[in-house]
Amino acid sequence: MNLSITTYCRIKNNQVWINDVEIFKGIPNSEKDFLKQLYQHLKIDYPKFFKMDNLSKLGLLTVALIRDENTKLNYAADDEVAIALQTEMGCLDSDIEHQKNVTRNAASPAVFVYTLSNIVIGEIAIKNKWFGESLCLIGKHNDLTDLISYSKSLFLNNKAELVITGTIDSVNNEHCVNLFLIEKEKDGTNFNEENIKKLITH
Amino acid sequence: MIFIGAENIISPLGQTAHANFKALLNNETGLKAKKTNLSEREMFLSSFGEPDKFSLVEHSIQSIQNSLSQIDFDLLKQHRVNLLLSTTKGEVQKFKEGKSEEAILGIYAQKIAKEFAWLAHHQVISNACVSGVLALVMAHDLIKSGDYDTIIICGADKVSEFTIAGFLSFLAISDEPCKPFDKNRTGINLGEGIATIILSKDASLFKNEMFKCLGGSSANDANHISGPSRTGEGLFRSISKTLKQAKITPEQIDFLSGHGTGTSYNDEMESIAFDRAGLSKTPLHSLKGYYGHTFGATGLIESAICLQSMRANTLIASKGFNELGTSKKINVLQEHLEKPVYTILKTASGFGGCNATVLFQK
Amino acid sequence: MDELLLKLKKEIIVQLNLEDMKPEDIGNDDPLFGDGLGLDSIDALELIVLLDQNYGVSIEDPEKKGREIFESVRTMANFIEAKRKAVN
Repeated sequence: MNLSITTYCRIKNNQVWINDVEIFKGIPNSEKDFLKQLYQHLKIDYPKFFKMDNLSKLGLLTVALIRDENTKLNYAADDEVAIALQTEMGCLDSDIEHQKNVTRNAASPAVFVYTLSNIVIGEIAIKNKWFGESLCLIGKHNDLTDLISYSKSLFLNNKAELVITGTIDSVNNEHCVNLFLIEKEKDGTNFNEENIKKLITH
Repeated sequence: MIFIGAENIISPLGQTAHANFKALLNNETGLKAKKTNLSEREMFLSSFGEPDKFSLVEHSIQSIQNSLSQIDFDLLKQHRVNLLLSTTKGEVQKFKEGKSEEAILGIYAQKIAKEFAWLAHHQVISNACVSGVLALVMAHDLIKSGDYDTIIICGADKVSEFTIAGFLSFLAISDEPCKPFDKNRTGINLGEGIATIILSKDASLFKNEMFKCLGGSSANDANHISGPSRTGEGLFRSISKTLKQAKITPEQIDFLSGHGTGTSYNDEMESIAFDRAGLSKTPLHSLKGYYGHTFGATGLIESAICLQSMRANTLIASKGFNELGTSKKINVLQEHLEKPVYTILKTASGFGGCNATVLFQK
Repeated sequence: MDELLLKLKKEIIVQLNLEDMKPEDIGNDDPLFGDGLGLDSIDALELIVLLDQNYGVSIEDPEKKGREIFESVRTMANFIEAKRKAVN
């Protein structure tokens, strides 16, 4: 089975690249933080965005960027798209905020719900109305063995027609995401650990 | 074919899977009324001691070692082995202690994995309450694709002030022992514990009777991050996919081990999903009345009990149930039942709209 | 009462992350849930926290009484005033 990376979105240092072409750069020292700037740049109208933690905002925006770039996602059936993500720090921002609230005896349900790393996938699924497979792994970005094996197995077991996979982290307003759209295709960069590593580290 | 066995459970009900099963047969529960700093009222918790005190790292190692004692270790050393750790918050008390950097789940995993230096790899799954079941599904698929020969899965979570406070803010915690699927259910109880299960392509790895894992699937509700789907959409889709891929019909399911947390919405959603999937007559239970909700451990503890049920040909009753309180009729088991058990479906649902299901067979 | 209504609107906007919304965008009698502001179940829980933290007011039976109390900003304000009177 030929599996290829057909679209790739990377966000780091408040810069956005699609397939290695820079398409957006955040304005530093702006009143609006980078995520809000990108949200407005993409002309998304989704008020729920502002209730999310940064990890979820980042995931949502990255998937929107991939979706704008590759229309195949618009034609997929609602259970054909799988999402498999790996994060190293997970929901650390929300964890720390929730603990602060607990300490002052003022736990907030809106913060607590984001103290699970997989919520970003939930938000992506809700926004895009995708009922497919999903998985959230925790680990360093240089260890993607299981993420890649699992993503491949989704195709082998006919559990997905398209897989969005990659790494995502957002802590203390430092965002770093590398998401890949994988398709059953001969054209495109072959989907394997070596190629993913090259794309992430370059 | 992927084989499954060598299960262990460490919980307030015992240190082995067998001891836990015996306790369940005896109608014992880990749920005890306890006073915490977080509420004026007592709450029912299934815990070893005070919140935050249970050591996950130490007991995970112990649990894995117990499972390893049930397999041929010399044979295992010839295998490519992965360790999957299923947890939602790990050593979460680190946040309270001001050591947030030590709470990162990768660090928690490293402390456990280094005790087993012969492992080819280790990986953390953190997918809310479906982590355990999803780990079983992932393990099955990774062995099937030849990435590993054997995968050890260990699920663990502890009762903590962090989580108690969170669920109190959701008004989700019951004042009483939980009553899954019952008309008078009022919420969840929290619990802690650890379970380990081993999957392998090699049946001869297991010293005792082993079973087959027929794989599973996951599906998202695409509805709300904390409220379950009103149509049970994700759970229904996952059940359907799991049965279809294993070529099993609903009638062939001897028993359904549900999630049944005891909240109004979750249990209602499950009844709708089970009904839609043709499982309304299948005997089922929730084990939350014995263990409370153990989050990252729940899928593994409850699956280990499923395996014990297959060993003993005895189904465990759904503790806390009296009268059905769901819009769809489902067959909740009220007494333990001695009966040959051949095929069991395990389900789980969680925050983030996730749902996962897996099949076990003799 | 006007002061309380304005204060509540400002607090709701902050507590529920209603971005780019101003107090004048929320009518005193606008439905908070359903078609109005379109709040959801987590927002409802947050409003319970808001009443407790900012006004020291708690609801005995949130599942039953919540709907009436959180129907609009005005019903929330009425509830707070009623509780204050009861204390005095």
